[in-house]
Amino acid sequence: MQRENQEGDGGMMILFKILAGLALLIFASLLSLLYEGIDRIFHARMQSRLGPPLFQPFYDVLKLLGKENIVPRRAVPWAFNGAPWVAAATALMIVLYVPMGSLQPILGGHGDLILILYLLGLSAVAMAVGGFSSGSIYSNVGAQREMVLMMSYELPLAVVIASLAWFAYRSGMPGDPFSLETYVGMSVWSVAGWTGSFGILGLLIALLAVVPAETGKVPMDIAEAKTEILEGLISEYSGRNLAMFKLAFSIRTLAMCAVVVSLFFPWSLGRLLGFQGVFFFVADFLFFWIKVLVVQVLGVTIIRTTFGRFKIWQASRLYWYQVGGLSLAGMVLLSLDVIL
Amino acid sequence: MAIGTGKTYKVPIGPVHVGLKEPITAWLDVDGERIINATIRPGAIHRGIEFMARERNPIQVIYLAERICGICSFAHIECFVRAVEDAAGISVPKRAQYIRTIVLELERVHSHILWAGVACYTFGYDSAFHLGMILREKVMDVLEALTGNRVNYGTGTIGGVRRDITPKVEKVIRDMINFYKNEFELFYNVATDDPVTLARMRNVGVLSSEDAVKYCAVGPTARGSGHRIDLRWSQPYEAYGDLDIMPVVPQDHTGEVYGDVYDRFLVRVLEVYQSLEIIEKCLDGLPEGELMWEPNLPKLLNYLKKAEGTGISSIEAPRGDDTHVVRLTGAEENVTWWKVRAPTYANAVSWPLMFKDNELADAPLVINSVDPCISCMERMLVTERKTGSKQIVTKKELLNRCREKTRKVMGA
Amino acid sequence: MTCRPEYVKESSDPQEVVACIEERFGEDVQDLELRDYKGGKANAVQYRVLWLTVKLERFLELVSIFEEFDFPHFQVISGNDEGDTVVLNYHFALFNSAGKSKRLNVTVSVRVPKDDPVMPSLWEWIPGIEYSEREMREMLGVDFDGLPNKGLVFLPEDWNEDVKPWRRDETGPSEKDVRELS
Repeated sequence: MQRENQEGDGGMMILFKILAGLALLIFASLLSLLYEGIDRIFHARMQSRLGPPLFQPFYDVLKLLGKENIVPRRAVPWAFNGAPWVAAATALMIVLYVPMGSLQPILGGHGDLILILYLLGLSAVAMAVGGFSSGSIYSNVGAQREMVLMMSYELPLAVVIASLAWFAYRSGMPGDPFSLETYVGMSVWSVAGWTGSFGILGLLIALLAVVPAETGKVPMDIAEAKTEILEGLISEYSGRNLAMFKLAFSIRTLAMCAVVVSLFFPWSLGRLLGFQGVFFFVADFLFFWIKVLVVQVLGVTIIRTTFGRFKIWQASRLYWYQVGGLSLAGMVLLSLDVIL
Repeated sequence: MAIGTGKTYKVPIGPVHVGLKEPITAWLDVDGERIINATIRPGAIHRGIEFMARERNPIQVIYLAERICGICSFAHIECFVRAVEDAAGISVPKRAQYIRTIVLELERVHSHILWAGVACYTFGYDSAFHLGMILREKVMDVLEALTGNRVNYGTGTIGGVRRDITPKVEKVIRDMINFYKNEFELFYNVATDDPVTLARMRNVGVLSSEDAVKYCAVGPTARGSGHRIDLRWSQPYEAYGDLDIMPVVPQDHTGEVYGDVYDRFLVRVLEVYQSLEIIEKCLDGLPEGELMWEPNLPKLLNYLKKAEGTGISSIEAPRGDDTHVVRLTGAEENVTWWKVRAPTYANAVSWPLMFKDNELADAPLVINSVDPCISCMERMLVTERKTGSKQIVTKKELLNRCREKTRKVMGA
Repeated sequence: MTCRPEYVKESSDPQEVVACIEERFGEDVQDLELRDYKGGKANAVQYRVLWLTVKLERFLELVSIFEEFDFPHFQVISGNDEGDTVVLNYHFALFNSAGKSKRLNVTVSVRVPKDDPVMPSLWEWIPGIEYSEREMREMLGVDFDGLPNKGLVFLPEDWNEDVKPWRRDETGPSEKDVRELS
């Protein structure tokens, strides 16, 4: 498919990419809100509540878009207004780099895992900037916490990505070791031996542990703790800006889960059932999003139902010692697998 | 960020805050996340109930006392009524004493479960909060079956009680006890075995044993610091003298006293079991007899009008020692003066100590850990709030529905 | 009977407490009353409560006597405006955790003259008294000597501090301070 495009007119291809990219962005935004609705219903049912309607996140965002946008007197307006857009835009951009099933990412080849990591980080930094520029003491505390949290989970995250890339490189998986397509094209599990499988499992758990912090959900919703610091870094936000933040949070959840799926669960349904042509891509595309939903329910919903919130230093310590240790153990096991 | 630089900034928690259920302000001096100092400023909802009582006769004040607090409303009228009985020299029939004890314990069950749920909510453990709320519904139904109301029971009166425990109600209460004996275990396990709960509550908001005495802490707050202070044991009122009650202290269960939020949590959760036992014992030994010292209200009022004296009463409310003092003057219809000391009034003084060297994240939990009842402390009137839903329910309809439900519960 | 604080500490017997107070204070303590409280099926005495009035000058001494028995658990101060004097009732509890039925409520009444309404503060001994002393200060206009924080507790920030809500004289609330709720 890509070769066809390359053979065709360059201008047409760019136009096609822009159109497809826009469609994908809209699709991802809507899907992320839908998944949040599902997440909330699951969460409620596990607490034996009825929960909100499935489309509640849509109603929320739509309502917020129509509300007045209040900028606090003590805020820095450009940073305060810019932060939500940067946060949402960077989170959305990740979608363009993630392969969906057997479909190549729109911007495939232009960015890799490292870029995705930085986009996630940038989105979090944008939120923190928004908090710092709010001029409220609670937002300030929230922003500080967000920064501390980021510094804590970056270690396991980096170790997971680096070990996987090294493993892919050394075990001779075809393709660029830092490109997500490599992992989608060939499952890491299939290359690894026994020790390697345990190593990958460790990395998977470490990455899943990072998901709540990346997505700002209990037990890691420390920066937005409503009962402690009144929603923390988003406490001063309202109207359109808040809608953007809400969107950014749900897209980050979606993107993070999509990355987990691409790295660890790349299995293709179409190939398994022997589909051809369009069916193959459609089946894989749907299967991919189902996998994302499963990861989101397991990694976010269930976790946030089962636990309470950590304190910031407890979270930091958890990421530095336990989760960091786990990812390092995974790294060592993977190395052993390669060396032996 | 100012961690360790010695520079502090002020963070207000309250008067309106998501983590607090009632208005109170805590000004915290924070260095990074660490709380250096705290200043508490109540006063957001003082309504001057004691002042209002000066223009009311003792029977009218009962209804005022009931509305001091929604959760421990019976504790307050019980305390007020006992103070009046003390001042006027009225003795309460045995059956009434037992029924009062049962209602007090039912209220304690409801209050403690509510608190435990809210404490979990404070650190984001919503599932435990919802579980607590579901469990609490059972005792609310029982209170409704017994008194006809979920809060403000209107059950106590001077010289007795106004509602009897019929065989039907007795069955409902016994069902409830069985229900909790089976189901409460779940909440206990969910809340006490959870690693995050332990991490959030252990060594947080510590009130040392010595400070608990000096700052005159009461109730579960004092017991959490390891003191055997329980008026049901040390100063047995009503039917408590017949029952063998020992104060619940953490050292009997974990072997150690930390005096932290977790210990207070543990004390309250264990007291739910204790209360169930007490209710069961009271039902087993419920004596026959009158319900009131004087059922004829005008006669009683006439007697109270002639009475002269000062009466004091301290009882163990769910949150601790509740004290009322009442002055009646002969030939005067109204209460001369009345002083209410709700448990939070005593416990709030030790807040600054508990805050010290904790983190900002702990602040709401520390405030909640004494189970504050700010309205109690400041003695306010609770206002009615209209219920709205998609289908607009008129007040009349709502009342009818309430009655229907009450009838259903009572008939169960 | 001579007063032996160590013995009282052991026995926590209300009669002994009364004896000790009577021996040391004589005429300075008045209206001493020990009330019995009955309850339960047997209608037996469950606990006792002690009432007494002490002269202002010897109030501190009296509280220090309690300290010889047990740390006085402070409950609350109640008060009333009685013309020339303001009566403050300090409600203490002794033998708080001594055993079943051992707790003894002690109410100490003190008359404070209105022309010089100053009480010695107990804050240094019993820090838990803070709110009560501040409340009596704002409600009845009794000043406490030695209380560090004399801010308002329950009254709003913009309250006119010359109005003392519980006073029954001209410093009390006037008609316009009281709003009738329908």
